[in-house]
Parts: sequence; C-alpha cells; structure tokens
Amino acid sequence: MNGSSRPDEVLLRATRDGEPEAFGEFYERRRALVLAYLRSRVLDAETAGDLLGETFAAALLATRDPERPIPEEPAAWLMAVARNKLIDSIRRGRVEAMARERLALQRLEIDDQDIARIDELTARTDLVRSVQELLSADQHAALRARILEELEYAEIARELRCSESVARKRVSRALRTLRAGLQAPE
Amino acid sequence: MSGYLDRLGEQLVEAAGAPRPEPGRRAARRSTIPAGAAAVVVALLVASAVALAVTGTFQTGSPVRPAEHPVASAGAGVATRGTRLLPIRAADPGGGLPWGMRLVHTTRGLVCIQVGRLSGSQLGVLGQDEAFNNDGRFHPVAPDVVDYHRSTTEISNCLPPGQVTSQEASIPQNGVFGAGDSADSAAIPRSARRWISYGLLGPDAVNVSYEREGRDHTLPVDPGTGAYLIVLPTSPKNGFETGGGATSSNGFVTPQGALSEITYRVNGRLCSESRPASEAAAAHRKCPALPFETPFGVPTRLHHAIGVRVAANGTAVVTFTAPRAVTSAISGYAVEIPAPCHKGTNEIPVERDVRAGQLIHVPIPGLFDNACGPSVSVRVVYEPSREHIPDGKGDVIVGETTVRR
Repeated sequence: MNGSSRPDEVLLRATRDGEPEAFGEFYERRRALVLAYLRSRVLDAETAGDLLGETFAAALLATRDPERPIPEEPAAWLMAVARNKLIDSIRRGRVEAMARERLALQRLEIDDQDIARIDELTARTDLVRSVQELLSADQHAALRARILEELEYAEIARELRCSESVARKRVSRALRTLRAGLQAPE
Repeated sequence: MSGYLDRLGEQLVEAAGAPRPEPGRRAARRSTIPAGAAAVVVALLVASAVALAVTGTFQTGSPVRPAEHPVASAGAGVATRGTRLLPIRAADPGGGLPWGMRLVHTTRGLVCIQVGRLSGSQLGVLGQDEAFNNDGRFHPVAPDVVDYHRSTTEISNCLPPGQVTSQEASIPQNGVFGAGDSADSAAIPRSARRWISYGLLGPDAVNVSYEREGRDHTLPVDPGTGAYLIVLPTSPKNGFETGGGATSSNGFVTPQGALSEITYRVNGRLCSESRPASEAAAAHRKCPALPFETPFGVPTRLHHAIGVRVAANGTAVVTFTAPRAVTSAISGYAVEIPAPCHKGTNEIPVERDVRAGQLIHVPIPGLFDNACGPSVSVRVVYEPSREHIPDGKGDVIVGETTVRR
C-alpha cells in the first residue's frame, strides 16, 4: 500500500503507469471538494452524485490517455472538469454518462442513505477553504467575490481596494489557474 | 454494505486497472458476402420487412429509457417489484400489435400507468410515423419511464394509491405519447392517429361504456384495479380536441370524452354514472358516496425559522430544517413565493425524500422575478398529501419571512 502523502500529480502518473489504487487514492482525497462544488450548483444530491461519477470517469480517461499531459495542478484541473460536466448537464438538461460508458462502469443507484452521505460530506467540506488552497490569496479573494458571492467587477474592486481592471485580471488569473492543464476531457 | 460513493471509488479503481482501450483504432469489419450476392440479401431484407409489417411482428430496437437517471428517493422514484403488465389488450383499428397497459409501483409510493403497443409480454412503441428514424422496429419501454407530473402528453400518469383517474389522448399509432406537440406531428396523417381512452377506476368499478361508429359498447374493467383501455380510430364526438381527463380522490370520476358511462358496484349494488349533459349536472351523482376519510385538519403554522440568502443577481437559496420526514412522492416540502399582483404563487417543490430534522437548501432562480414591490414573502410549506384535490388543504406552513431587494 502506498502512503497517502503522495501529491496528486504523482498519483495520476502512478495511475497511468499501471497502479490503479493510486486513482482510488486521488478519488478519496478529492471527491469531497468536487462534491461540495457540484452540490452547491445543482438542485439535489442525486444529480451532484451523478455528476461526481462522470467527472472522475472523465478524469480517469484523460489520465490513462498517454497522449495527454498529466496536469500540473490536478485538483484545479479536476474542478474544471467538474465545471464542464455541470455546464454540459445544464445545456443538455441531463447528466451524460459518456465517460462512464467508455469505461464500461455500471450505472449505480443512489438511495436515501447515499443522499444523506453526500449532504453530510458536502456540509463538512469548506468549499471556500478548499478552493483557497488552490489559489494565491489575491486570486482567491477575487474569485470568491466573483463566483461565490456573484458580485459585479466594480463591487469586487471596491471590496478589494483595487481598480476594476485589476479585479478582472485577478479573477481571470484565478480561473486560468483553475483551468491549468486543461484540455478537459470530453 | 458500501454506499454510492464507495462503490463509485471501487468501480474507478477497477476501471483504472482494466486494459487500456486503443483510441481511434477500431477493428475493421470485412463483409463476407460476395458482391454479387449483396442485392439478393437486400431484397430478402425488404421482403422480410414487408412480411413483418403484415404479420404485426417487429424486430426489437433500442429500448426507451428514462430521460433522466431515476432515483429511488426523488421524483417518481424507481419501479418496484409490484410493477406488472395488466391482462388488458386493445386491438389497434389498423391491425398489427395490440395495445396494452402496465401498472408501475414506485419506491416513492406512486402508482403509474404506462400505455403502449404490446409485443409478447413487452410494452413499447414502434419505429414509424417519424419515431426512431422510422426504423420499423419495436422499442420496449422501461418501467422507469414514468412522469411524476400528470400530463396526457406523457407516456404515463402517476397517482398516489387510492386515487382514480380517467384520461384521453390523441396520439400516433406508434404509441409515442407527446408526439402531438412536436413539429413532426404535422407529418402524421389523421389515419395514423388514434384516440386512446384509459384509466384506473379503482376496485369498485365494474365496466365502462363507449360509442364507436354509432354503436354502443360495454367493456369490463380489470378486476381489482378498475383499469381499462380503449383505442379508437378517431376522436369521440363529445370529446376533447387533443386530450384531457379527470382524477379524483373520492373513488369516482365523471365519464367524459369517449366514455358515456361508468358502472360501479357500491355496497353490493350496481349503479352507473353517465356523462353529464352540463357542468351543473355533473354535481348530481347517481351512485352513493363511497366512504372517504378526509385526513386533513386545519392548516397549521409552525413558525420555524427559515433562512434566505440572496445573491446580487437575484438568485437565492432558502434554507430550513425539515420538521417532518418525507418518504414518498405523496407528501413533500415546497417553497412558496406569493405574487398577489399576478394573482399567483411561485412554487418550488422539493421532490425528494428527506429526514425529519434534515437541513434543506432550495435554490430559487429568480427570487424577485414576479415581485409586486420592493419585497417578497417567502414561506416553506409541508404538504401532507401533495396529490389531494383541491390543493392546499392540510398544508403546514413551516415558516415564513419577508425579503427586501
């Protein structure tokens, strides 16, 4: 058994090199973060759980594809994958199972105990703090104001005591960081 | 037993260890049919297709699955073991596969009716009349293709146990409900449409009467459920234009549309309800009232605190602690935002099971979209019987608050 202190990037590389348990470790480590993000954006825990499965399946497909680079910031990359899956589901009005089907994953039922678990895990996860770990302080402040508090740039600039264009740049940089590496899988 | 999150992790690890597929390199299939024989094979296939159409036997195509992944504790739930095909058959006026009906019992306490074409013991729809690219195949419909919201444009109707219903709809002969609303429906000729009259009349119903081509017919209903299914070539004289129906909690529905009469056995005696000549006449029943217990008292207010977090763009999240558990689709919570100037109320239902004491978050897309002034009232309501008619009786107002812009 490998230790749990290996960085995300190392886990993904190990997955590609034939150590499947490494992806399990990556999943265990990051599922709460992804779930907390998705749960805050969808109406119910089932949809969040469904999207979680599709997100990690897409991430696994990308990790196993030798033609894709391993992302330098896997957690940020994973969040971007989750966001893409979320947007896809909103556009299509349903959660697609394309990645899970490509991996031949069996469709799993989500019962009320699972819903309680998802809600519990989500409640225990400080999404803001988790995202903060991925970004610099100024990027995080700007992104939080824009994405989580949904403020206009002028309001963000006032709050952060900077010009509107600086606020825009910080949000932009933060998003770019979150998209790092990202040729997000289909 | 491990839950969803753990099983998902196990699946991912298993998939991570599986042999890697080779992207972009598909095994080329080479035809073993000599070129000269190809035309013969095509001719045989065409001949087979014609023969299949004549005999009413269809090859099986892709199954119809729910539009969304069904969840046991949300929406209509998923089909349970009580789900069964009823011993009801209705011949199609144009021949071919008969029509049938399935009763789907769901994990959330609903009974849903599915109507479609029958191939053996399978219920489904046909790939013709602009459906499934006119592939000429029979497409089985999964039991979980049910719709929680009542609508004659859907393939099914869901009811809480004890309610009775009678529905009518004009649909294509392929059995695809809802096609009447699509742009392609104009391409479906009148001769390829059917008038479907179906329902679940309850254990007291005995038979239904209807008129077809100037003659009166009487059809016994399915004993126990009171289910019936009538398929007519055209809409009835006194019917709806595209569909309609009635649902009742008191054991009776008034005959309408294709139905001229419904016969019940009440207290050991037969009695019949006829199609009323007017709305006023509909109030006068011939059958004695069935014992029906009204389980509702005076609406109550719990005065619990509810939280409303509003974002700058007007979206909001209403948060409350559920005082009562919800274990089926029959009861549930809803957030209500009255808009008196529009004479309406914006209602956002929570369509899933919840535990008593559970913290519930309900996203509201536009809190002030229908506001009549600088503030809106927001209330959380528990509905002990969401399907009760009329709505609203017995509701429990969990809490309410006022939010200013």
